[in-house]
Amino acid sequence: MPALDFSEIEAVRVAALSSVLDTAQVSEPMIRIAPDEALFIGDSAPESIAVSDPSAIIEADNGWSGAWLGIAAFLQLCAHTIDWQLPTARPTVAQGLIAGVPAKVWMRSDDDDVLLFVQTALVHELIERLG
Amino acid sequence: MRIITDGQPIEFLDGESIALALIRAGQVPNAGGTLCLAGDCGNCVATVDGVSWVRTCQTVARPAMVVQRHPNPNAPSMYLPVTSTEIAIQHRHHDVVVVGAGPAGIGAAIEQRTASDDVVSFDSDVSRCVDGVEQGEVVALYAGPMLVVRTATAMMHIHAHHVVLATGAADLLPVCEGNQLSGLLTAGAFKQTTAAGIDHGRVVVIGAPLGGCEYLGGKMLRFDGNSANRVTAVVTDQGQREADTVVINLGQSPRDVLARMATGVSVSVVGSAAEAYSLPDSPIDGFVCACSKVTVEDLRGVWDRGFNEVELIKRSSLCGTGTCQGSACMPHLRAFVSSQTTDDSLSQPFTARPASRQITMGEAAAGFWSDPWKRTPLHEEHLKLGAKMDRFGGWWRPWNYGDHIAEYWAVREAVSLGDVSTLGKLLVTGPDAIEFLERMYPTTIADIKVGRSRYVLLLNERGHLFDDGMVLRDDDQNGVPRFSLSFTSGGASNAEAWMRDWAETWGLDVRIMDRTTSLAAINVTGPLGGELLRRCGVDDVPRFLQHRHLDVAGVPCHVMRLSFTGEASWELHHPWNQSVELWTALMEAGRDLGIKPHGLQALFGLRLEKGHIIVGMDTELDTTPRRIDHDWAVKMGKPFFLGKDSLLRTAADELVANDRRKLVPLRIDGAAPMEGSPLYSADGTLLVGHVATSFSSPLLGHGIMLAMLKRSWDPHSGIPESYVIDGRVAHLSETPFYDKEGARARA
Repeated sequence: MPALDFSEIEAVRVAALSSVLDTAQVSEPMIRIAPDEALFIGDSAPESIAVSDPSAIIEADNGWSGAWLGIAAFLQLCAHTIDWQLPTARPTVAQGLIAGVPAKVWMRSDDDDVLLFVQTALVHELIERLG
Repeated sequence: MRIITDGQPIEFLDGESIALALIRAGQVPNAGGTLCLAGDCGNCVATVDGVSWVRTCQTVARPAMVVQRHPNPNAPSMYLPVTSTEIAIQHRHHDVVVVGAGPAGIGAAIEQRTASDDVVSFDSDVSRCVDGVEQGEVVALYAGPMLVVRTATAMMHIHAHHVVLATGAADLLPVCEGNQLSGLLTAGAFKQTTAAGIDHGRVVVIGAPLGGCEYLGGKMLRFDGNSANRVTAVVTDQGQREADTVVINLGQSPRDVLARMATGVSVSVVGSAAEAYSLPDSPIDGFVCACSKVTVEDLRGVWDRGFNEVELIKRSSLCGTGTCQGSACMPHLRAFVSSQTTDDSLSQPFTARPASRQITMGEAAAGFWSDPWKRTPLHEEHLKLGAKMDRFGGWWRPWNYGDHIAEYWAVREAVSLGDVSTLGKLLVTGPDAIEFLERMYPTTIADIKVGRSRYVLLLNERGHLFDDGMVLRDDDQNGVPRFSLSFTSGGASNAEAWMRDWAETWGLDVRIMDRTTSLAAINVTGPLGGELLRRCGVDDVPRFLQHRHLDVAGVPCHVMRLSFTGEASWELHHPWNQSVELWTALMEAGRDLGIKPHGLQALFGLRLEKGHIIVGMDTELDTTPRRIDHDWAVKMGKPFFLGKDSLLRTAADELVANDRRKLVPLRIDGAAPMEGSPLYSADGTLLVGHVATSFSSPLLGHGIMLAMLKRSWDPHSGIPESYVIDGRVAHLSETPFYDKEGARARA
């Protein structure tokens, strides 16, 4: 089985108008976890969001842990425990239960790597269940 | 090669089923009944390797298999030794799934492949599993569509866009007197066994002729048998024939159990599974439903009592509720109803329920996971300190650290730390934030000043309490108000969804962010708590109900002065990844102050001394603020808040005057009774309620509790002063039990 090595994700979480997130010009990877919420990997979010939506909530968020995996390794580890279909589009964010644990999957457009990430509070459950 | 049947070895041929091996040996798998050997009838079930209700005609024999035939009346023990085998799960996604690989199924698969390159076929018969057909028995069909398939190695959940059912047809079984004898075979079973070289002795065919066999025409009347429950003769209205084996050739009916599960699902049915069929003659005698042992007499009984429809007969007699879900009995049940009424709508087939086959608990549970339990960032620190961890409100939390009384006194006399990372935490801002929160909470929000906070209840539309917490007003953001909200640990998820749903429903301009698992929180509580914070760099500690963003021991914290324990308390909300650093610094700084961590066991007692409720423990699903004396947290003068209309209606004098539900504080000499203990009237004769939560107070020296009164007391006479609990007298008291003026919390 492939190794599952989780580490803390440094991220900034943004809650903003969905129209602002829809049109945000971002150079940083934006992981859209809800119509009105996004995670930006790293220590900052695009300034344009706060300009376009002065009420946006922008907060550092280190409550997530993730593991980078090749797509083949990810499928080997997780596919049999997922009852939802992985999207084929790239880049994309998919989210749902993996082995009964709420998890998110980010697939980049430029390679076959997958970021599997969960709330740090649940990492122990996912590791235990994926063996 | 041999299997072991009822303790005796029986030879079998490679690849043949257990049922065939038994018949070859002159035995039958079960006590009797017509065998179809196609998986339809349920008359061949036996216990195989400790698993009961196994269809032996569908199970390939393997060396040393242990088979226990189900004795008359062919029901196995329901108390077999538990064999805990975890069954693997596979999730798969396909465009089209074809069930069945007979001629119709093969044709359907070819047709589907012209439009899709993702078509798979399954068949339970391994001999048909060629050219890409996979072996698997489809036992359930759910909306989605989603098929549950049993294979030799795992259960599969197949998610498809479309399902084609080509499940074929099943031989009709006979329903008449004596149909539970052995020695009865359907035409299909007879052909199968004959091909396997099994000699059936004198064979008589009824129904329709079958090439080369002795035939008896006429309407089937009964089977005669011997003391061994074996058929000896068959009787029709045209005569009687002695026989060692009777072959029933009555025709077929669609094998439609999966189709009958598929109401509203994207499913098409092809081949003989979709064909209309003629109903057999109405049964006169004998067993109709072999699974549930329902006789024709039973059907007449429920019909005469007014259950005049197939669906109603099923529910009242259990006919068709067995694991074959009517596969075998449906034609006869429909024929019975048709003979009683001319209304065809009353004899239509009923919906089938998963599973269509006996499956084990392991197979049923495959792919289902228990709820995950969260850990706070301090989990390992708690273990190092000897904490006994328990699950509470969706989290692993310290119950105690070995001595909850010592933890209690640390809070009351010195300083203590509690891990409250589990509390729900939301940020709310936006131009409509105040309007939104005014509607959400029964408390006034607009007058909360920046840097101040307020205790709030969360009510549903019925005015019932379902959570509580704090609202803290933060500094405005670009001129827009901003609030931090907290909720109970167990109620956080519901509260967040509740907030988001209403924000969307009302179309208000607000932003909401859940910070529950992004921020950890430590509660510093006790009379020396302020000193501890000063030692950690906080020169000006917030006063009661104030809050500020401060560095504590170098860790950025949102410091909130609250009190759940009854002592001076500060919640330090801080980044998740700095929690261990902060915890360690606080413990170190408080070493000479007598600092100890406290767990839930101590906390529950501390808060009870103050009379603070715990939602879900001291409240019920229909608890209103009035029933727990929290009217003070409800401002009925507000123009609107969720639940207000209901509270207005239930506040009518008559309703209030007659309401027996009330949370009351009680005291009792000695130790507190167990939570949940029944509460009796003072004379011990009437059950009036129960103890919600209780605590043996070290400081007060007696037991205290909150009890829910429910019945058998007269609200017009006022709340009774005395009660009996566990044979002891308890007395009405007042909250708070401790520090009535609240001086210690505000100190």
